[in-house]
Amino acid sequence: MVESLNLEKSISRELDKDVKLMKSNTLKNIKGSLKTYKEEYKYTPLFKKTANKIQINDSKLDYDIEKIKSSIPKNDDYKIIVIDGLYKEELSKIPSGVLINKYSDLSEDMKGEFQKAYRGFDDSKKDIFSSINTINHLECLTICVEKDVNIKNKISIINFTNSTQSSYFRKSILIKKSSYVSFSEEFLGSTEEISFSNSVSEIFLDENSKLDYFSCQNFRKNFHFNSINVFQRKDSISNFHTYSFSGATIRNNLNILLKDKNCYANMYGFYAIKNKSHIDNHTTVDHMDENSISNEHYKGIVEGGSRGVFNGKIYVRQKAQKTNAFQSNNNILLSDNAKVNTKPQLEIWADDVKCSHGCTVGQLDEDALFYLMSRGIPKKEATSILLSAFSSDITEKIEDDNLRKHYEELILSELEGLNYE
Amino acid sequence: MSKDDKILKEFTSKEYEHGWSVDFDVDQAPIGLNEDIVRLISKKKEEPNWLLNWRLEAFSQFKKMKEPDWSNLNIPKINYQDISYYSAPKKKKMLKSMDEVDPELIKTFEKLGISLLEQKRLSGVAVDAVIDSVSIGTTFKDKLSELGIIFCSFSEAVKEHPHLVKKYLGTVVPSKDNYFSCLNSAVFSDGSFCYIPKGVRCPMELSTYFRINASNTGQFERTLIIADQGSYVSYLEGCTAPMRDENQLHAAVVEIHAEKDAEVKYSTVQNWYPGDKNGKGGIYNFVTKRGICFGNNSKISWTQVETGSAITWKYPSCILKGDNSIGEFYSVAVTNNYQQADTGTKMIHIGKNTKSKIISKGISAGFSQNSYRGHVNVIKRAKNSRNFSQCDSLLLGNTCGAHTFPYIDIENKSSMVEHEATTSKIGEDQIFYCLQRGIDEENAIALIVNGYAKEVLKQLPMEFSVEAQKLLSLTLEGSVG
Repeated sequence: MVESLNLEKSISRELDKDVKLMKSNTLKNIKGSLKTYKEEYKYTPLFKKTANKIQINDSKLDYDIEKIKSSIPKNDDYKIIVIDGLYKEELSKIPSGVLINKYSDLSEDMKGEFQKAYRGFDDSKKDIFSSINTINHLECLTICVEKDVNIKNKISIINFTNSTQSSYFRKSILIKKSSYVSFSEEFLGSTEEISFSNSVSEIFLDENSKLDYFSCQNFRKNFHFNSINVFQRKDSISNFHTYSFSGATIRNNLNILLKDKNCYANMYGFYAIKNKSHIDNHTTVDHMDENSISNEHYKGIVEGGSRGVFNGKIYVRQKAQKTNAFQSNNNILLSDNAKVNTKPQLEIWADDVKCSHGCTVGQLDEDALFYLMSRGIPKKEATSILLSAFSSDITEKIEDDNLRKHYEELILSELEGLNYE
Repeated sequence: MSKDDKILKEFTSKEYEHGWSVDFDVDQAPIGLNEDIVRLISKKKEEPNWLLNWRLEAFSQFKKMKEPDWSNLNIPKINYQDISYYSAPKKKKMLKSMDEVDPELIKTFEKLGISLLEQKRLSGVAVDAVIDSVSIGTTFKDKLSELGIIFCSFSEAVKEHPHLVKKYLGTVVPSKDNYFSCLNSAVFSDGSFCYIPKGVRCPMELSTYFRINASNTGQFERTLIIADQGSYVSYLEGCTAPMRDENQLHAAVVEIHAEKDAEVKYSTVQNWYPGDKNGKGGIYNFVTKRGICFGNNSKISWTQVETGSAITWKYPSCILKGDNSIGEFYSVAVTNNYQQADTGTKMIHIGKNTKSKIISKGISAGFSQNSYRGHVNVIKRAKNSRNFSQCDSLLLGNTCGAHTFPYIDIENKSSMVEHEATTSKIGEDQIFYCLQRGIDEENAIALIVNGYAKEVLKQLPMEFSVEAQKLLSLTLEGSVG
């Protein structure tokens, strides 16, 4: 199956010697990354659906730049604009203290710094779609947040997909010592046709740094594969917020490696899906050293003929004593045609730890519904109130007031589209 | 020497209590696995043609299958050609009463602490003892037969009640189900058969003891339990094996069929030889256990205490086909030294208003790896189903591992499923509390571990509960720092 993808072509056009080597090594190991496919994609057989779209377009794509410009929010916020995997400097606005470049344009010194992130710890050895991204991506966007920089306002990363085939986006983020940055990533499609977007990121958090990362996935027709790989050094903090809504097949891989002591990682996710939507969240937290904390909470509302998949893995290595790791996944099923597949997985080799996971699949509490209805609130409205209360566990974790309001409104409008009866 | 080291040393120096072997005259099949062996086993057991054909079909399927590799186990390569597939104490004549049983054999049972006579008199347990594949003596048969209960060895059932065996054999665990059940279907030697007629409540606990005695004999027993409408039975299984250096293969199949309103309770205490402190030897235990709640309102309950075997691969499961049926799984799995266990359950909800409960307690010590693997599946038509799962792990020392792999697949909106799991060590405050009240550390640990496992232990029938508690405290003696 892999042979038919003609991946060699993407390698042959690569100019950078090191990147070319990385690509050809990935191709050599691609059989290895297929080994886990059967288990990891048990409920999301993405490969079959996308195999005919995996190649990249040769011809340069035409797109209506004015149309894209009009869909970029007109405000002074910092933003990084990417079209079909290629960075558009002229449309972007970057704060000082943040350096954005294509990998190929970096100086040798900077390339050296990015080596540990780019080509360091992504999951292309284990995941077939990450492998394909590694081989097929045209350029890697590098984002470097300099030492001791505190960027209060969030930076939006907006991806436009025009291709009717597939688009590959690759970025590498380096957050240096004692810095803080917040990203909000969005994917927008400008075509009505079904396409496949594949995004892989590596994020390196140096000592004492902090990251907030929001991703909002509101595709209508796309297949979307998104892999985020995080490497944390001592005393660093990362917060991930993932919101997925209806209309597409989405697969999220979020892999966090807590390499040093005293790391802190939070992962929050919410999904509300209907029709034939399919959301698959796969997360991994690997505790390598002492005194780290990881906290994971995913919640979802599944309606229509949609399917919600969750797989959370927590590894606690032998050295990682005094680890605290929590994981929980709650689902509400609103339809008999909807499905939930969840697998919260723990693997622990250290004894002095506190680890727990929990997961539930169920419905709204009938007593609560009855209480609201007995006070004159119509059923639909009452259901909506209870569902937004269900989601508030996740949204309340957003520290930024404006952003929280934004997501709350988004969820509310999404919930109105659901069919409760 | 640090405290942990000291404890480890004490812990690992514990010899296997049941490690002995008695030399009977053994009738053993030549080493190897081929069609002739399958025919030989069938012939030795004087089986009818349909059963031979069933075995042969399973064997031809087995040749096409591959060993499963999905488990979280490190299984050394097993040479299936290097095992003798049949071993039976030589039959001298038909035994009419217990007095005719080989005194050596009775001694064997006494060593195991299950003296047939003693049990007959005191506990009222009917024991069908299986040593190396052939059922030797069955007690209380007359009393049971008065009620119409059939409790006998599998080979006897094939002879005496072929229609029942033919009707139910392979209906819950089809021969092609998995690699090991397929092997079992081809070469199974003996086992127990139990049939409870309509509306009968079995007045005593039925019990069977398995022992793997001859060296290098894989034991492949097959158990079939049929509970007809409205009946009840509690079935106990205990296993021990003497110390042998080479690994012995054990691939059993247990099938339970529960009709309308029937209830079956199946309890296991397994303390097969786990290998020595360096992980050498020990039993490989690859067991397929499955029950079907065929009729409405039926119930199947599995309880297991697993302290033995070098490798355990075992998932007692329930298919909840009848409406309102109930499946339960209670498990304590203890691993020490280099033991590996990958065990859990499957609850397949098919009928409406079906309920299942999973309580799994894992305890790992030494260099062992202990995994829970479970699957809860509620299909679309299983409206209003309910599952609750709890799997806790206790780690003693930092060289062992505890793993949890729960699969939860839900396909309708009226069902509720909850799963929770925790992993921790014994709380220092708990130990402190005990010490403060004059209980020494070892006893404190035994107390805490027994308390931890109590939810499962209390499910066991009295006789087993005592044995299991003793086993737990013994295995864990001095294992926490």
